[in-house]
Amino acid sequence: MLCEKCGKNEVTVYVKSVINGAVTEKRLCSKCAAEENAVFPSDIFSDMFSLKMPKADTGAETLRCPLCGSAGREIIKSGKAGCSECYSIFNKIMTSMTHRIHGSAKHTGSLPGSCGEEIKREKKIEELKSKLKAAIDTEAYEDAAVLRDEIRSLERGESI
Amino acid sequence: MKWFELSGRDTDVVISTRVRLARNLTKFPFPRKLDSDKAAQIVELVTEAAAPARLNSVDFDTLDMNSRLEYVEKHIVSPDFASGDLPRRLLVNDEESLSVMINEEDHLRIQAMGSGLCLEDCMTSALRLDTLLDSSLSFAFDTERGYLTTCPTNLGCAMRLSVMLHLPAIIETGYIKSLVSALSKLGLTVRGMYGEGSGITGYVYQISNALSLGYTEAELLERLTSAVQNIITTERELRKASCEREETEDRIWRAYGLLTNARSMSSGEAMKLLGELKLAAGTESDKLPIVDDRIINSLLTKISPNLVGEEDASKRDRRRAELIRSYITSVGEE
Repeated sequence: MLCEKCGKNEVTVYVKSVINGAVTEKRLCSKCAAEENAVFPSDIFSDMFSLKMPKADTGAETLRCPLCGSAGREIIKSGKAGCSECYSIFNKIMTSMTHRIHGSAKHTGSLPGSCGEEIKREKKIEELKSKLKAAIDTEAYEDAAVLRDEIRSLERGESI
Repeated sequence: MKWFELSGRDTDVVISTRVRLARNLTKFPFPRKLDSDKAAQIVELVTEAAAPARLNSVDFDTLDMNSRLEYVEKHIVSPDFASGDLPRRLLVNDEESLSVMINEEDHLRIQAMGSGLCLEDCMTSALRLDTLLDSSLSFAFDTERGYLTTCPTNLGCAMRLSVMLHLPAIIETGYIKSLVSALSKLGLTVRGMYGEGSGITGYVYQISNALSLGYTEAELLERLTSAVQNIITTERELRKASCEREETEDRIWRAYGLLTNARSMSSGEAMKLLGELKLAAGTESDKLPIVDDRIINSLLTKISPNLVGEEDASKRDRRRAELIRSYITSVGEE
């Protein structure tokens, strides 16, 4: 059978689309399917996300989260957490998953109100230190002096 | 007036801007693990916390399917939110520029939208609503991972900035391929008009940051803004070069002719013709039909099937053609 669109190549893809409830079906060659931006079932590559757990950690696969009831196995398979507690209960699984996506990046953005003053202060000091480094690199010594004083006062425990 | 009917910056290339934040409450399972009772409880908690923002409530679990799809086509809710079956509510202001989806993939998805390029304004209003909600709700957070989300891809600031662009010239010249690969190196992703998995419709592309862990909100803003500005300049140059050719002049006039005269039009054809008409936008040529960007951009939303209405497809196509004629003709006569 030849492709419905170009009429030249053999049909290799059967595209069924549901747009706002209307079902349309097309028989296309792979070239035309790519042009039509046919989307393949997302589950095909879901294994790419799954993790091979080290032997010592197999216990985590059957452990269940007390808040949402998710098992480690389930989280590995779906690539999704069941609740915020899963991130600490399955710390190793979540960390390994996070590393695959984000590398070793750590949060540097804004903090919620629930975060204690202590954490806010630490984050602020980290931020000021990186600014200080940048100021020294660009020989902006006056700015650097101001930043150094700010860091000192925060380190002495003064409020932000 | 809805946000997409308002004017904005760089509307010859940028259709709209959106900023979305994901937030979850502590002590509750994420929506994928939530039962109806707890889901309903979250709906009430969030609604109460958002009260000072004076948003309207729309309960999606009891809303009829057509109205749900209208919200999808207006890009206020995701297709998943529209089709889910947990108790869930949309909180939204009158202009539909600020909203919260309660119980989507995460407990809260805070969203700010605007016409044209307005990343900073959208980010500011989304974060302002976030601060209000944060004052009475307890958001799940970890100092190293940032805001905790159902999908680990959203960790960090849990913020996605996106810009919807009309790129007929970049697409037709084939530069789109090198653009897509350049953007992916910058950690930006390219998607179709209705977000994840929706394919590319017409000449419309959506560009957004892929990840938000390890960046501050300001860094994410800066990175996307500079990429988009680059794209705008290129699209404008290519449009100008293309419009100098007689074939393009003819095509634009043909698109204009069909849009202002046809009696029946499918949404696919309309998207294609509006893209061709957009080739003339920003060129300031006196030889070409220049239609106000606001008209074209708002038509891109208004011509989608559920917003046009009508059960029967052929009636819908007639109604769509009528709608387009009324908009584009009225501009010409102004």
